[in-house]
Amino acid sequence: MIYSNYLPSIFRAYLGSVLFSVEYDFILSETHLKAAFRQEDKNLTFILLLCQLYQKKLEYSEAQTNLISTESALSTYAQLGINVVKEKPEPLWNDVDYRFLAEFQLMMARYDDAVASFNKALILNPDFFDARVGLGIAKQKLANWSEAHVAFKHAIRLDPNDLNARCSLAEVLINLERFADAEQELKRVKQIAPNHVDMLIWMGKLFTWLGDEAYKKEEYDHACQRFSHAISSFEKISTGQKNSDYSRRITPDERDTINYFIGYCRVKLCQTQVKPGAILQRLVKGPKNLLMSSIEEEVDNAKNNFSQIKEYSRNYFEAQQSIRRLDKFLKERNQFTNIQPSRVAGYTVATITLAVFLFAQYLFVMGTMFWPKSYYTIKPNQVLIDGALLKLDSAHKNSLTDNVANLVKIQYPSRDSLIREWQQKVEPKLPINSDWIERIDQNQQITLSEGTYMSITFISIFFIIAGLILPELTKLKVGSIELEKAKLETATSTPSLSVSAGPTTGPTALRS
Amino acid sequence: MDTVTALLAQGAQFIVDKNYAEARRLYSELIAQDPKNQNAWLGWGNAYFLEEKYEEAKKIFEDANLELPDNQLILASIGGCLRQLGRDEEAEVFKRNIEEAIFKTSVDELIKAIELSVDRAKVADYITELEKIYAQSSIPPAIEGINSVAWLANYMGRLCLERKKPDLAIVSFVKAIEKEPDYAEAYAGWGHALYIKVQDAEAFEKYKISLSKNPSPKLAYEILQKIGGMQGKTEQEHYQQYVIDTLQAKPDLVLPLNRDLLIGDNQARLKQYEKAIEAYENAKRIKPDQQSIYVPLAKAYHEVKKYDKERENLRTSLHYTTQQIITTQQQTTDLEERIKQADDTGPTIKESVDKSSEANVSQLTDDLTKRKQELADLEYKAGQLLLDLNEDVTDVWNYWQKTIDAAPASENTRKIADAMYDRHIWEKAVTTYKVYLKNNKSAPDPYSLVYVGIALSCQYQYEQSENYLKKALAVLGNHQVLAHIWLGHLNTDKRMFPKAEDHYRAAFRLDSTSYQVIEALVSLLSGQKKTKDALEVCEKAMDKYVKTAPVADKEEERMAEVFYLKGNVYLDSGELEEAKECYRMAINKDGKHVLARHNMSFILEKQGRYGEARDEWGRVAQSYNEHTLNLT
Repeated sequence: MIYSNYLPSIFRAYLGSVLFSVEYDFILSETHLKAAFRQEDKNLTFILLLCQLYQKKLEYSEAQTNLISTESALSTYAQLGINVVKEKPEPLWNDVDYRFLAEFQLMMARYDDAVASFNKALILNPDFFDARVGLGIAKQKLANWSEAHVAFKHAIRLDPNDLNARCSLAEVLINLERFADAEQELKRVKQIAPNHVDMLIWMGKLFTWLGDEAYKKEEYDHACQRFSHAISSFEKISTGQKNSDYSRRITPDERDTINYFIGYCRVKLCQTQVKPGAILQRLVKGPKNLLMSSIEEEVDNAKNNFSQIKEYSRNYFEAQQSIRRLDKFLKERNQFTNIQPSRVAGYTVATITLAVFLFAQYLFVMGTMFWPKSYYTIKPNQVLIDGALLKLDSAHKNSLTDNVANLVKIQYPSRDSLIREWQQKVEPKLPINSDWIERIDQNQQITLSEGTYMSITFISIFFIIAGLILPELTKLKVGSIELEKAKLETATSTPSLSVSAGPTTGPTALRS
Repeated sequence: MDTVTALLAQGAQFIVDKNYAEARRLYSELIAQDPKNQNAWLGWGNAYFLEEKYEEAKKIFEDANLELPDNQLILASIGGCLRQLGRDEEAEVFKRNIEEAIFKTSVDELIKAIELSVDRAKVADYITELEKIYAQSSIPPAIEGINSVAWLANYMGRLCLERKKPDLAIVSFVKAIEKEPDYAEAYAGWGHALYIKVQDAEAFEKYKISLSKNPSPKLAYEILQKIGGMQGKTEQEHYQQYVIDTLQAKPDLVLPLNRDLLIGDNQARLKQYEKAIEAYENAKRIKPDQQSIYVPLAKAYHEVKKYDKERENLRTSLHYTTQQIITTQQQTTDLEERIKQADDTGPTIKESVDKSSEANVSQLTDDLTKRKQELADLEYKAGQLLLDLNEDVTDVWNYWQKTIDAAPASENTRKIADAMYDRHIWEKAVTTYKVYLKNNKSAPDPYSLVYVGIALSCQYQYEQSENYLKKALAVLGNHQVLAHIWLGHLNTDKRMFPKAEDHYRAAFRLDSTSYQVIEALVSLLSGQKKTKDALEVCEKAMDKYVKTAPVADKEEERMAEVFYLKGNVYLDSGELEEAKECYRMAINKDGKHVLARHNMSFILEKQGRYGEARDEWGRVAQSYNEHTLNLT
């Protein structure tokens, strides 16, 4: 490395920039950047890097940390930057001067001023990528989505390789409710960089939004898919933070928001899956069948997500509210759970009760329809006692004896049927005597009384309902949990600095 | 006939007409217009001389001598005045000065003749001729025991060195050594000539011979200072170590104080600051009021991070300097008083004052001038010490303002301007450079023009800046490159890219081996999406910038710089793969090229290859850290 070709201070300044943007070592970064700044106190790049450092430090600090000194440093350096720009007479300002001014105004949350300055830079140089992006960000801050959209569109045209600009465009499109376009944009980023954190965050948010929309339209299948996508996007970020293969770390605020979103989506997913009409479908499809898996598990996971949200976080209040609602739901659900210790037990009871019910029906029908209460038969002894058969001649006697013997074996449900049979088979030779007919009562058959039958039927129906419908009732209670929408603000994207020598170092007034 | 000639003719006529007062008025006006006009000076002096006002005439000729040093006619005129004033001894000195001037002129003419001559072997003939001139002159004789031809040849060699003619000087020194093989001074002179020619190794050999020939302590000190200051490419440490070893082996070679100072200086150059401190402290014990010890001692303490000691020594130096300032101021005031008293005696009394008292006034005036110069130097030094002590610039400026007022055309004024410039105190830098340029009667210093232009540009006075830079362009020299670069920067800032490109290209034509120029031109072209042109410049740079590396080792580093620039061009045009390839080449050539690695990481990140990018960023941070440590 030929040191004489460079300003010595740039090495420290760039080291500082790497330390805060890649290593997140804000303390060491500050040391180096300040040292570089001391050497070149009018270098606007160095001042901007210091501002970016403090901004990042604010974004990555836990909410309860005392940040007054950092906020004050940010504001001091931003003002210093503005002062340095203004040392140059305004008629001599070029596009880069206006851009620097705008960046410092942006740091000071003077968004209207920043917009004006970025616009001036763009009048002088319409192809100024950094100014286009800056303008987009300023417009975003002002919630002027349509103009932000134009700015980011331009920026992407100038540098199609810039993934951060694409993510910002997607964010704007989401806010403009142009979900399909946003999805397309995010998919483009995903194709190139599947681990781009902003893409994953916005993808998650987009799917949450789309899930909500589908849910409202009662397209539960779609809603379910989208909430699942949202959860997987957010979970990818959460789990991915442990390895280095991601575009950046998430801020504590983003971490809390993501937890809120995951919790939210989990609850929504439960609600989606237990909606009427969806049960059978889910039973048939059942890849992630909440009917069969534990709802408590999902709700507990959601609760866990909500409880991870730190105090002072922007979603803390909503998270606490959600936890309270979920607790209430679980408590209510536990009352049902006391009756039915588990869903499996519920179904068992329902099945047994159904069997009892069916058996009762069987008994009742059979008893009513097919099982007579008494029957009629010929008393053979009486026939013999009367000697009627004996009075016949031997030829008739033999044939009749057989017929009578057969008739004696048969039980007739009614007297008439017996007489009719007798008349057909025996009568001409031997007329029947009514004393020969015997009525026999069937006391030994099991039959149900009407009262018993009614009781069994109603009790069975009740248990079947209890076994089958009560779990569904508890699920429907999930649907009644209303959650607040999460508030999401992603970290300001501070892209790594490229060091194409000219624009960053500027002309050096070193004497040769 | 031009105006000057006409006026000179008119002056001559006034003299013929014995209208001396009118003649003096005319000549003084002419000199105000043209201070280097010899005839006007002579006419003015003669106008007094012919009126027998020899003291006034002498004063005029002495002023003329300041403007036109070594002018034989003027020196002769001073001698004439002195003789008329009865100061024959002084007149004799002037006669010798005249002869020496004549001798020097003859040598100059000889040098010119030798330069024109194709046959350098004839130098010996010229020296013979010189001998003849020498024989006729009354220049002091050669040192006893030294062959007179050898002495003369050595003398001529020294003159050649003064006139920056090292080749001719070498011929003379060789001649001197031929006649006097143990002539230490001639060997030292030979060494100096080779040193000027940047042949350090050869110069070192001659110095070594000179040191072996029993040089005087003064000469030995001079030689060892030169050796210690030599910046060899690979043997740098060897030179400094040689000085230390020699002084340790032969402690009597130089005076004890000088020995410790030399050891201290060379240990400091070898970054052996503890040993340097030891040597300087020894020197301090030998002569505590030797001011030249304290500043280097303070610097050595700074290097070992003993900042209290550093400040203590700087303060001591400042103390001595301010004491000297007070003494010198007192002397100056006394001298001014005495001159005033002499002037106040008035013309009537003046006539009665004897000639020796007049000479005394003249001597006093000379002394006063010298004291004032000394005072200005001391005030400059005091300001510099305050600056080293990180004192308020206002205090520094209090001293320096006096230096500037006392000697606006001096080197110190320029150094002050440079110091202000280096500290980005643009307003003071501009003012000081302007004073320096205005008061410098010789041709304007082009570098000062460039720096004032740059300083003005940093104050956003673009129009004035451009004027100064263009003035600098009118003078031929290396500074033109810098002037073109800054005109390029100015036009870039004004977004007048075609003009900027013209200037950068002009700078590139003048010096295609300057990285600053290459980088400026490539960045401009690349920013203008003239990718092809930018790459062409890179190719040319590969040819010239790389191949003119001072040492073969540096070629790879320079190649890396060009690959890095090429990478930047591709990055600007969005050709990420090509850019990556160039950065990879840069890193292959120079593993420490952190900026190439930086942009490589940037591209990997842009391509969504975060894992790889992160590994690379880790190396980038480590490399920056190393560079920062090296530079600290």
